[in-house]
Amino acid sequence: MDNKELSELIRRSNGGDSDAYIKLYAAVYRPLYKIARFALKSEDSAVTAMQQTVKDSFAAITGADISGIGAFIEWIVKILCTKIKLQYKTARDDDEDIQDEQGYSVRKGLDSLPNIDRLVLAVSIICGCDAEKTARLCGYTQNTVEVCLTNAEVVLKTGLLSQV
Amino acid sequence: MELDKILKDYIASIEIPQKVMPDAVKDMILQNSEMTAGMFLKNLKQLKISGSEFLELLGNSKIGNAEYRRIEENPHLKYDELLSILDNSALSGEDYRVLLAAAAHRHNLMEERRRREEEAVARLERDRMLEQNSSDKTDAPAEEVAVPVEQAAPVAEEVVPVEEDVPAVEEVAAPIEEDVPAVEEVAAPVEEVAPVVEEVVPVAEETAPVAEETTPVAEEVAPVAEEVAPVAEETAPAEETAPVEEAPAPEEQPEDQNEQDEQEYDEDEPEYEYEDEDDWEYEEYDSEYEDEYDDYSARSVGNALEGLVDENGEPIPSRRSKPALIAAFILAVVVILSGVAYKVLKYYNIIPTYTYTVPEKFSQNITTYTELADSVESANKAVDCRLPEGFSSKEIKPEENHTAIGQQYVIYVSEDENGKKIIKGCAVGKDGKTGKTFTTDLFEEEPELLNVYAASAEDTNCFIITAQSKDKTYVKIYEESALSKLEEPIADHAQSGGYAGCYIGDDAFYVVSYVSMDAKDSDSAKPETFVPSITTSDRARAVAFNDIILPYAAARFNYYTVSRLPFHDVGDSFVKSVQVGDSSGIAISDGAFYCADYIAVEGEPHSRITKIALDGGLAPTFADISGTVDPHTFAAGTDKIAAIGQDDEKLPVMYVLSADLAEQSAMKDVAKGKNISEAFCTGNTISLITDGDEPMRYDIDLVNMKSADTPTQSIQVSDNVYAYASVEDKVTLTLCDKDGKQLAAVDITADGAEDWRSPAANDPSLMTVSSDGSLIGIPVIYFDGVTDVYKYMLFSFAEGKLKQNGSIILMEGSYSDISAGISGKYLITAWDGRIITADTAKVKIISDTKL
Repeated sequence: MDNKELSELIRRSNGGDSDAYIKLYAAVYRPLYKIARFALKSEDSAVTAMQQTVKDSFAAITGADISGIGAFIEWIVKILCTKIKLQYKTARDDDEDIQDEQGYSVRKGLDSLPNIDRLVLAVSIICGCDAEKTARLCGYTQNTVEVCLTNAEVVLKTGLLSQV
Repeated sequence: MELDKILKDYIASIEIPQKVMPDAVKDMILQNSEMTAGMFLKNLKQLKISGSEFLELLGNSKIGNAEYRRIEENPHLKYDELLSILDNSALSGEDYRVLLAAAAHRHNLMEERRRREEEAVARLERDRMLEQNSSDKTDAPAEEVAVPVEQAAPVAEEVVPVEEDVPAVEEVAAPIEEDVPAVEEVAAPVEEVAPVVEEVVPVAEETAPVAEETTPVAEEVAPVAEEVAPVAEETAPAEETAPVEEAPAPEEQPEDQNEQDEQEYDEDEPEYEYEDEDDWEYEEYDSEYEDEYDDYSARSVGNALEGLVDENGEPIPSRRSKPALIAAFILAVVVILSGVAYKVLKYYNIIPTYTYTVPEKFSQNITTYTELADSVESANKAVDCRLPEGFSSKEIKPEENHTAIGQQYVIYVSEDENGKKIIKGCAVGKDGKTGKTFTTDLFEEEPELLNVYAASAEDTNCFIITAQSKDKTYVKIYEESALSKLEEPIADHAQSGGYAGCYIGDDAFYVVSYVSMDAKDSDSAKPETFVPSITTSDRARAVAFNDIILPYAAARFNYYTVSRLPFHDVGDSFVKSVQVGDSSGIAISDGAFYCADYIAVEGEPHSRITKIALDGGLAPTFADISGTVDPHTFAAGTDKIAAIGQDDEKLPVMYVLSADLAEQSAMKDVAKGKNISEAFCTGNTISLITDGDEPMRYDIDLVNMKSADTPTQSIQVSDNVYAYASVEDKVTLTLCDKDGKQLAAVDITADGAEDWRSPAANDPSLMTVSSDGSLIGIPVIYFDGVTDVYKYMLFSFAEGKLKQNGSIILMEGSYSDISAGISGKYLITAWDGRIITADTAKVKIISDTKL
């Protein structure tokens, strides 16, 4: 799907076309879910955050001022971040029992981080953006993002690299 | 392997669950079941409610004040920002549904009202047209003036129904409004609101026929008008033209004026020309009517109303036609009957009256012990006392003091052969020699904590002993000599709770204890079951209700109790208890006790700082903070107090308040956003210690709100002289004035010795100063190559110079509790209960006694 097609889908979604929206969603749901799963401790919470993101983004896309696919991704990631924060506040986000050894150590390392660090790290790595843009997407200040990234790096290096 | 790669591998390994696949999501958005903030906003948008209505809706919801203010103050929020605020608020899906129901309710009402107004205006137009048609048929071609009369007359006549119909519509609408609760009241469960919305429609529809009935009525009247017309034709023309000629056309209607001018001009025209004009005039009137009809509005109604008055503001006498009067009469009857029918239906409850219960905001009004007991029980669920994740949970233990050096005695907390804490002591004679030692066992129960302090007030030298045993704090105050003889104490006091801290004032001792009482054991008839008790001179009583300082929301039976115990008169004791939640902390500064307490009421954080002045009256004050304050990082400085917390946006901040709590501010980006595990104040500088394996220290000037150098901790020597110790590769004793200007300094070092340090660098109270400020003692430790050497050095300060008098040196042993005092000409030092006295002139040892 090229940019032209995506732009057309955005235009149709703007008009309330649910089919177009689903096609648009299909283009972005994988990285979105990975952000959610990375930032939240349990799969259930990640799924809930994603579902809420879908509902709210579909509810709001009609009439939303989204100029292109880049703007759409930025817009929906912001909504996802809001929903992830909501999960932090409301969900009982227990650690999951992960069997895979490598996954276990990484997940445990991530779960040992404060929520804010995990969210910032998720957006930063998966979206591949700098601190300024990460701050914009997550709704924090750039200073906060930089501190979180540094803290996360130190904690994870200490925890993970010692096991490798 | 690099961290980046490990994380990317992990990200790649994340499997996408079926529930978020596009197919599953498509079903979900079509089902549209759960109400989210986004869907709420979308539905509101469809209702086309205004910004002020939106704010009004939110204002009556459970949204927090902070969130409401953010929305109110930022009218141009982006969608995701608004979403973020709503998601972070206390509003749930159910709340959104209730708000939507309220908004829909209001929307329906507005629509209904608008429809009625449209119908009323349309009816007016129909009546006017009807009137016009009937009047046209009565006009004779020769009556030139009749044309302008009829054009002028409708202005008055068309208003006639307005006088009667508009109030009628309002009358009909009025009961609807009565039945419809205010928006504030609609914040009820959706199950209750929904039928209301439906209910209003039929009620409103009952009124609709009133308007609709006018149409057939008017149509029925039309032939009547035609029948009546000839009669009017016979009698009216002469009478009707006269007043119209006298009554000028309204100035506000220039078109009418032009037409009248034109018609006056036409009066001189030949008759045949007029006949041609007649048809043209009629057609023009029709088109004008169409325009007016299409453009009806409140303004057009208003313009019509203006025609009701003449130049003098007097009503123009209406000249109603019989059909119009009949139509108006029928309409009035129908309206009255409708009103009566509505009242009857309501009286017999056929139209039910709904009463909506607004979910009440949490509030308490506690004025008695009983209300306190009941309120705490009922508030248990609404109030959450747990600190949010990420805050310090480090338990802060009160400082202990195991040695007290008085003027004539020294006492020390020791243990007997069974391990029970006891007090040992000895006298120091006028010759500087230590006397016979004594042992006292003041408490029947084995104390868990035992502290001793020395104090002087006027000519009384006292020892104060505090003990904690079985969740009670005991305080005994003795004159120095009375302790060894086990004479009666000056004060014998006990209060509920464990020892939490103390303060030695000029004329009194202040003790603080903390107690957490189990709500299950509370009995509202017995205050002592849920309020701290104090026992003074064998008299026990619960703290008086008026002496309990209640928190923002009383939800737990936890209290800090502050008691003032004067050195001279036991009768002047005062007590205050501060009730707190489960997350609280205290700080005691010079002359003030502060308590920080955090609770969340219905999800909204509330932090309160309470101050009790440690003076005669124990006067309380408090300040509320609309954020989260971590009571474990709460510290009091000289002029400021501060605590780490989170602001409304959940961002880390440091709250700084003035000592009187009157001013407060917040400082962001403190300690680079790291978690703080410990905080303490030196002067007006707060030192923050970060959490983790490699703790960092950040010093911040609380007055200037900026980073500060590591503060020096000093003790006062005399009026404008302060002493502090610093350690680098040697120990330096420095004297300075209050502005920090150095007055004198001496380096303490020696060849062959290394690792110099002094416990007084961190705790200047370990230095001792003579009452006249001329002698300063300081403990130092160094390594002589074989073992640590403990040394207590005495300096004299005169003429701006520090001069060493001598020192007590202990080459063996290790000591953790080093204290000293100067009594007259003698230096008294205590080394873990080993009392060594010396003269102050040359520090020559006089006696050495092990307690």
